[in-house]
Amino acid sequence: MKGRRAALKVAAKNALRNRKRTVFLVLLVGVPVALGVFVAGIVRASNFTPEEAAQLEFGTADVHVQVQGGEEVVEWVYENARAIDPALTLTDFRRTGLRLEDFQFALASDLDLAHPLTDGMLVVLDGEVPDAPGEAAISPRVADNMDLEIGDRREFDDLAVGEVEIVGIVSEPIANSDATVLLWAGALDDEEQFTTVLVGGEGAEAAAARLDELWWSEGQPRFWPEPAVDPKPVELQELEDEFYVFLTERQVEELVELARTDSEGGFQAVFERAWEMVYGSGGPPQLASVYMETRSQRLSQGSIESNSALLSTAASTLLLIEVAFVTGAAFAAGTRRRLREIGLLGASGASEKHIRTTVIGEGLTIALVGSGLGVLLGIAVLLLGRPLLHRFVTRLITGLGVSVSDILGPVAVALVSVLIAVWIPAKTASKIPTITALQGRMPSSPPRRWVIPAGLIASSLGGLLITVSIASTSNFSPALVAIGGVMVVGGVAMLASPILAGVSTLADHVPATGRLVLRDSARHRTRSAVAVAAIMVILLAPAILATMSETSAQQDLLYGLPEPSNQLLLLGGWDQAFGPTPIGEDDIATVAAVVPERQLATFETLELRIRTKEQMEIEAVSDDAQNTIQLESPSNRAAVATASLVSAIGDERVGEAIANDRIVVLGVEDKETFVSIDHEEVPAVEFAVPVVRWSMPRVLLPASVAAQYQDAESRPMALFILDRPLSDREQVELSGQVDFSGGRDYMPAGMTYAIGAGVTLLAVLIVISLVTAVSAAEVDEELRTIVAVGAPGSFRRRFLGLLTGYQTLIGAALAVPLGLGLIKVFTSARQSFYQGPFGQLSNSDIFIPWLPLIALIVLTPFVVGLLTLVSVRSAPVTPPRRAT
Amino acid sequence: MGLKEGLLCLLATGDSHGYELKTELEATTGDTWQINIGQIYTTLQRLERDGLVVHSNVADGRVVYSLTEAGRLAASQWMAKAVDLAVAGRDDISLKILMAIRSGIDDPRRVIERQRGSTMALLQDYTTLKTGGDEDIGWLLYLDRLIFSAEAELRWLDKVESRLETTPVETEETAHLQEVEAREEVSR
Amino acid sequence: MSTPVLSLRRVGKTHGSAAQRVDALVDVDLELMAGELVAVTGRSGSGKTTLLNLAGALDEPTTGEVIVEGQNLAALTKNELARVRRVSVGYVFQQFNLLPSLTAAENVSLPLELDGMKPAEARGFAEISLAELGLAGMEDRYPDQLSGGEQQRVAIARGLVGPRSVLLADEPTGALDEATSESILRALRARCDGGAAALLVTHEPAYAAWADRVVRLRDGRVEGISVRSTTPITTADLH
Repeated sequence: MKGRRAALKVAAKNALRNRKRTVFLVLLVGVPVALGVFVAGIVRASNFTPEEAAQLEFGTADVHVQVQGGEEVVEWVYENARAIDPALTLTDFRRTGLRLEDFQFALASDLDLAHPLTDGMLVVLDGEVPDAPGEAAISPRVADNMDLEIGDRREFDDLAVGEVEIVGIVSEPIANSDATVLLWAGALDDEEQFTTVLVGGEGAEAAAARLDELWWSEGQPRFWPEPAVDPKPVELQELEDEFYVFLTERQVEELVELARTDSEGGFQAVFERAWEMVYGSGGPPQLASVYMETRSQRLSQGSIESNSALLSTAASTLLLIEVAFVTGAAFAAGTRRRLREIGLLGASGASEKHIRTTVIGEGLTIALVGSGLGVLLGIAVLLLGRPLLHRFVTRLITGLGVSVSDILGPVAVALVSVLIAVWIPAKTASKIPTITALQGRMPSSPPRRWVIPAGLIASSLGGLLITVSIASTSNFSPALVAIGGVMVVGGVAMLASPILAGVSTLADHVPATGRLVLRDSARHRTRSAVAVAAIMVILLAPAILATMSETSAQQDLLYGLPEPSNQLLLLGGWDQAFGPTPIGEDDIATVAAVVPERQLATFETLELRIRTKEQMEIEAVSDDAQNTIQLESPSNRAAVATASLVSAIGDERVGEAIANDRIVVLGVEDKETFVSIDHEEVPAVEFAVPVVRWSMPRVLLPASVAAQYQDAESRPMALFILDRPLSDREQVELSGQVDFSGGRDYMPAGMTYAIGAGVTLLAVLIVISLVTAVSAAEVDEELRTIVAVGAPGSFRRRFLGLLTGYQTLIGAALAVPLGLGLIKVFTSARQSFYQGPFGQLSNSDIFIPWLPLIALIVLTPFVVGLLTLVSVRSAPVTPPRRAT
Repeated sequence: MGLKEGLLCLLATGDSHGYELKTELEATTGDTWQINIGQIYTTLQRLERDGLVVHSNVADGRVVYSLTEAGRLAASQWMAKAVDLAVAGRDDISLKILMAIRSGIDDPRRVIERQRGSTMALLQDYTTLKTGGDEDIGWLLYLDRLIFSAEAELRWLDKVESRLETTPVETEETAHLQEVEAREEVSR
Repeated sequence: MSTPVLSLRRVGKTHGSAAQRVDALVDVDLELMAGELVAVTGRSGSGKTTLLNLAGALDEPTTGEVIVEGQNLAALTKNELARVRRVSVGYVFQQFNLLPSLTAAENVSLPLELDGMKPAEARGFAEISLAELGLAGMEDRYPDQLSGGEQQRVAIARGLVGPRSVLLADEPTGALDEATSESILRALRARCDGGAAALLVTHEPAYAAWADRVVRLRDGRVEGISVRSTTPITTADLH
């Protein structure tokens, strides 16, 4: 096109002249781009490639040999490796765990960082590498945890190396949040049974294969004890050598005998007996082992996909949908305000294309400058915030912290959004006849007829797309779902314009201010519709979240009432090696030590086959259901209702029922019911009593009933009634020592709603003020006339208050059904069931929180309007100077 | 401005003879006023008769005129009096339009348009003269005077025209026309 | 002088549909020769501006044809019409003639640049055009740094920049005082005497009088034309 450069020049100059608006739009584009780049940096710093992961273990070595069994075995590895290929490079190091404060752990190693093979296993952030005995370097997390810095001296409890001086800060390059203590090379030589030998060099992998063969044929027989009976009797073929070599002749005989007699129990009894023999007396000595892994084996194990670019694009896409709407409003308002200039351009011989280029060029200029600034800002935040970020991300951020693709993603999305946003205003501007533009008139066209069907079709197609892509397990594509989502939202947004036009026909029946608001919204259709759409997108979030939270609250009810925060159920002890252990006095003491004020009830639970009535029904239903039902394991335990348990539960009706020898169900409603115990249905009474949700037996048996099940396995539990929920620290402290449930503090639902409402309101206000800001000049020009004919200055406030309230109302009215529809589409695509002791639900059973949703539709517009009313200025007494 | 007042004003600046007065007068009005020398002398004689000027013969035989006290007074009185425009409208064109309305000899609008055309052409010519490059202040003042009066006449013509449209004027011709129109209406 | 740069032949323009038909222009014939300044006068609603819009390819006539520099506008596409406005005719309006974000020189060179001329070359033409209007040295001022009269002269310079030879001026002196208005008209007259052609719409007789011909419109029809004397009148004629 001829004269494109001239048109672009006008665009650039326009952007420069309307500096306030330009700066505002540049920021509007720049901030999400910055956020996108920032998120990309974070994601990049949290992900790592298989190569990088391998480097942590291998350094630059090709083979990584884990040796167990002490110095001789290590020496065997060295000798044989060198014999196979003298050109190989070798180094070795050891690792051992140690405890830090607050139940955290660290890994100590005596890696020789000076050795070339260890390159990339640890990097030095500060200070130097420990190279003399008595020196250590620590990772930032250890430094934090133990409050250490370079120059400090400290003895570590679990390390036998004595007091060390901290000479440096080190970190794993891609696992920056690691807890590492690096000691001088060879520091752990005498202490550790586990040694890692790194082998590097051209022939390392081939040598490793050879070494592996050698180990089985020669090494293992040499380092393992001679078995007492050789060869292994046929009866014991299944017994692992690790056990067998430690068995005495007599023990072998006993096991052979056992294997012969106890043929019914299979090999289980033999194995258990052998285990007892070997480990019963404090465990056998460690057996030597050499385990080889090559770098190529490690890499072939599968790759971790790096999706930082995708994620950052997604993050900025969401924000930029908003940006597109607000920018669109800005340019729609700008078109109207600059009609005269558009007319002049036309009269000067600018063709439609020229004018379109001018408007789009201005948008593009802003988008480019905004993205540029955004990229710089994002990188700057990444660079400046690096020390802080290192606490949260796994890897060390190096260089700029982002790749070109991380930057191009958000920038491309920004450019596309702004282009889409300015396209309609640009087209409108170029289609205005020059004469009309010169007269300063905006031709008002009736709403386009195709908008409603097009919007509906787009929404339905989008919904279909989502359904199809979710339903088909083989073809599931997040991108398709995203496109479907955008289509649904965009389609509904298209309805905003005809709705505004439709509502404006009611204008005749409302008072003057309202009439003006309705007419203004219909006349400035693009701007208003875009504002409505922007608000709709924002309100979509609370509408969806409120519904989802209501639905999940209902789903939770399947498992009982919400858990009270003052109950703690002690299930047993916790052994570091073996996991849960039966409850003991010491465990109760442990809890008691942590929680000072308490009421305690210890009670027996009986292992029984228990079904609540509902579950019998569920089982019938679930047989018909097509999809797999994850049957929530029902409580197969009943509690024997001791007086202390009843008192701890604290419900009089429960106590009364137990006293009357009735079986009580701690459920969700008060009713007479049945439970089946060991397939026998017995009458029971259900009370809506909140107890610890998980693991707490729901069925209380009176002692008389419990007596019928004396054969059942029993297990004690303890229920603590606390004065307050456990603190996070107490939770951590207890979880290392005992097995428990509850004691957690849940945020009350009201609080969640209050926070949600606050955030929603803030977001809506920001969007509304953005849209109002960009169209303020235009609105003011019209208000001037209204004030001139005698309306008070406060008319502006009333008008803007009502206008924003009205637009929010329409936005909210669209957002709620759209949100519900989206949830419905997402849930109906694939069916699944939730079921618990108190009923079952399909995932497509949506529970609509009517009250919050109605409040969203009614109160948000009211509050937004009111806040606008009190925050905007009255119209100025002297009319603003008209820009020439 | 009359010749009489012009001569009195010139003589107020000093004694002068007839021909000198003629050239000075012409120069002052930017040569827009070509005056017959005979007219000068006739006027001077009239002024002498009224006791406003006196004449004396000088050595080279020419007659020199000078202002009397009464003449000086008359000159300043004239200067002080505003021009009476009350009679300005009583001119040919108003008369012509009024006669057109009354008699119906011609369409008054055509009379107006014809007059407008000619005045406009005149105005164009005046404007052309203005661009002629003559910087003489007297000439330019006079030209402006002509331009403004021509413009005023054009405005006046516009006004007359709109008056004719808004004020019904009974003429023999219009009465006849209305009658014809009414009859046609009925026949349709 | 043989062929007119702009001619309107039996041009008519009707607004609205049958029921509320308004004849804005009826059978108007008008020719504009190079070097000629033609004024169009008439009361509000007499069709002055409509005539100008038709002449400037901003509007299409209902009947008749408009020919600009030999091109019949009816035969041209939208983009070609835009080109006519870039290279043939220039517009000057009552006020707000200039794009506020461009300097005087940029405003003037805009049509040339829109037509694809290199900025530096267009600037050269703009400087010449501005100098002809007595605006040398003001090239880099922004419109809000110029007086009303200067702005209008910049607009005239733009109207007659480069290849443009037909200027369409719609009440160019409308918002200006008498002295400034006269300077504008003097500049316009000078450019016409230098070979340009201009169509001046005004309701002021005194301003119309600057024209070679004055066309008086009434209800969309040409009511009369007055032509200035071909031989300049002399002082003698005045007496």
